[in-house]
Amino acid sequence: MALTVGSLLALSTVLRVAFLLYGLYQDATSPFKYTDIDYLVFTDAARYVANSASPYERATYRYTPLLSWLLLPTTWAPQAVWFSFGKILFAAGDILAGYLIIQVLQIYGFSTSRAIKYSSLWLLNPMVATISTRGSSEGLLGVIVIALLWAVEKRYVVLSGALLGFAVHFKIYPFIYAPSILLWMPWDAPSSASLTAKLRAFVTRDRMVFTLTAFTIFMSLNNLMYAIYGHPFLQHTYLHHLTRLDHRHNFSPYNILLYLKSAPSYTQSHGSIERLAFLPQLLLSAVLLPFFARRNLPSTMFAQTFAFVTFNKVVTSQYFMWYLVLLPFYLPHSSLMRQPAKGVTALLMWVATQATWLALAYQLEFEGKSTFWPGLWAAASSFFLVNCLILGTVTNDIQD
Amino acid sequence: MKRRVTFITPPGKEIPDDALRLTKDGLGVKDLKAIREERFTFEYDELPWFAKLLVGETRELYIRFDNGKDYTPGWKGPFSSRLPPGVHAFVVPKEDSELKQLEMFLGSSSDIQSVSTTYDRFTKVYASDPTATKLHLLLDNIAARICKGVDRSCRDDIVNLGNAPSVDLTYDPTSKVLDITAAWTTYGSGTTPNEGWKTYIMPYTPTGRVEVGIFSHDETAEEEEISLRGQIAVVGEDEEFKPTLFAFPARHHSRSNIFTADFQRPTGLHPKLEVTLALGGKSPGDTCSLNAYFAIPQPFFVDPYQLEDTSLLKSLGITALIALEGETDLEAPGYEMKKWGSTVVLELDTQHYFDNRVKDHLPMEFTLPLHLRYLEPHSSKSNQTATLPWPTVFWACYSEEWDKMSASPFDRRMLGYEEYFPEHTYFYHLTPQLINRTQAVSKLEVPVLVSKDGHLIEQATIGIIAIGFIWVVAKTLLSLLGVGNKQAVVHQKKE
Repeated sequence: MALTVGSLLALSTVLRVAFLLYGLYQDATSPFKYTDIDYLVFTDAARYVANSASPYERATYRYTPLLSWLLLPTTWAPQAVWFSFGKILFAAGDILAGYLIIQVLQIYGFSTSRAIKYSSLWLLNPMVATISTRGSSEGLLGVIVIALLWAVEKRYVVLSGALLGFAVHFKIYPFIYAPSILLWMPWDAPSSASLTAKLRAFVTRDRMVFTLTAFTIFMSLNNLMYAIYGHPFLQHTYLHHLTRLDHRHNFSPYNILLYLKSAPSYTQSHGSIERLAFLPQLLLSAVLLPFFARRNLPSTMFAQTFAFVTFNKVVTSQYFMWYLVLLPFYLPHSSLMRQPAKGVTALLMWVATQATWLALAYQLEFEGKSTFWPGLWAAASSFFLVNCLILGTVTNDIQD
Repeated sequence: MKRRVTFITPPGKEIPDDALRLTKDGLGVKDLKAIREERFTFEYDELPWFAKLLVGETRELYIRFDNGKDYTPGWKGPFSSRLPPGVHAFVVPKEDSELKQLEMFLGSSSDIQSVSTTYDRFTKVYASDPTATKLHLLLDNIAARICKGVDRSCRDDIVNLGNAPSVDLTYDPTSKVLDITAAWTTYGSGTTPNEGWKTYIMPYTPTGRVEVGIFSHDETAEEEEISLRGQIAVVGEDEEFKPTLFAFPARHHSRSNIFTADFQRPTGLHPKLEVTLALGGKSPGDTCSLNAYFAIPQPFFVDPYQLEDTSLLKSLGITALIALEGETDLEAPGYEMKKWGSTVVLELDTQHYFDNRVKDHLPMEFTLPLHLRYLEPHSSKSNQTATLPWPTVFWACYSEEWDKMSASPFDRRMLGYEEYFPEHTYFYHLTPQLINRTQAVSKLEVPVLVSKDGHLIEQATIGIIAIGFIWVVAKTLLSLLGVGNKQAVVHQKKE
């Protein structure tokens, strides 16, 4: 298959247009909607903004106001055309992310045809195309993260800092990339130097500029949004994540425990170990894994994101997009590719444990069967362990 | 204290000669098949301490109990307006009042829905279970105070009000009187529906009087009107009935249409209540719309955003969501909820029914999509029962004579849904048809976590996370320290 970059982008555009049109057809003809519920939340919020109100007047709007501003065109007339603007924007974000993946792979010395092959993991992935054309904003984050990687590799320090600050404002989790980028930056200290001298050598101009830019952009955006929308912005965008109960079923291994312990009648418990759930998550994704950065930055970022999602207190399939966008950088170095049997086994286990969970969740959600324990718990735990196995393989694969 | 008793006999049935025996002392009633309304009026000063506290915190008070049983399909005449089973209270609280007495009266499951600061706005309070309230205690207290030293029937009559299918408590602060109105809406004594009423109505004191009326409904009455023909007497004064005929425009009417409802099975966490209505292919008039009023206790809730989607509404048989009040949080579990639930008024899509279903003799149908909150884990059971009252379904029509309706001796205001319709509206009510059930409610099982294995769940979760974490940390450290990678390095070299 000899695809050119142009024809790959054209093909992925055709794929997304087809999904988009199919979605319009399904929405118009079936009570089962193709459009994601979250898209209705975003567009409702944009409507509030269009009427000079706060996007947080829309219940469950838990995002930066920037998203609702971006989607203002979805409020324009005629609605039949403009309502889909956001989906087109998200899908375009996907394609741009895919294009940047090719660019970055080429920086790493990949031939065009090999870059095309790996980027099509993202560009031609039906799951990615579905999620963005259903109106989920995760694809937009993908393009920001790849742009960040591109800027870092191009040594655009200010731009990298700005993109990181922006990404963290947008969705918090990209802050885990800050330590890896800092560690990845050149560190010229002779191995004979004393520890203080080494540390002094670490504080370079680039690192200062990068950190300050990221912090400035992040805080400026927050201050701006706080000035406009006040406490609801803080509450819904950030604080909500600290206080939410997360009792509704999701892929997280913590889920059943959180449901159990959120109930006031459950008093047998000795401690609140789940409050420490952020510890393993952050130890891995923000402390330990960044030390791989010097070996391979994008693979490190892939591992960090994978760990962050795996150990999160809430896991939904949209979060898989966060690491999927970085997969094309890890896979070429992966033992999962070199040893097809291992790779296929890992993929099958990842799919099978997820499918088991989905089947049990279907029984709960639509048949009213109490599958919480041991069913859903065991499925979520198996999926978690499979993810840990894969993560172990990933860290083993990141070599100098 | 004043008492008024009204019997409405079935249409076209003569009253047997020996059914009524009126003397100066009292009225004997024997085997009288009739719908019955009892109305007691108490002066503020007559009320016991508990009732004084209750009415004392309000400027206006309406509390309605409906047991969701004892419907008479085909009934026409007064007492047509029923409510979804449960307790419905509408109050104007006095300034600074937190309605503590009312909350206590309604029991623990009540919800003060919107305490507003302006006294011209009503506060609505709901509770699911009429039997959990202190109605019987209140009636006991009233009887204990009023009936001291008088005939025992006084006490029995007052306490018995609490057993009626529909009971209204109304307090009017201007005249300082509390009205308690109870309606038995089947042709019988309530307890054994096939038997007629057998009772002796008499004044409890030598100077007391009881107004009694025995009527049949004239079905040829004009639209919007109720016409009653029969006889009235003042027991304790009259020795003979006076024949009487009177007609009045009324706000609430019945239509001889029935409906029934149930959940689509399986119910899952997003149950749908399907309501089937026998409309007989006809609307009462061109100006009429068909509506449903729901009182939805949590753990159920409706998603207001979902019900904005007009194409979805159309597929559900609904034209528009007219009102949604109360608890609409889309995520919180039931045990985090402070409020009782929510109320919903829907306008139903009769156009589709008339255009497509009438010719095939199919009934009208509509579906309310609901969602369930997570409920508390249970120590041994894997599900908990949730009960949804059926709605009241009615045609709302434009009335020419609306300004005369409050003259009706049976007028009933403040039911919870009239405020969403113009002042000049009158209502045609449909009757719930209870097939294989005793109450106009639908039940389902909500799956919950069984918490008896709580310890195991906690330990196993921590164990799994520890295993996963230690594994990843070990692999990471080994890789960072360059141990165990030789195989991979060899592979890379081969490439």
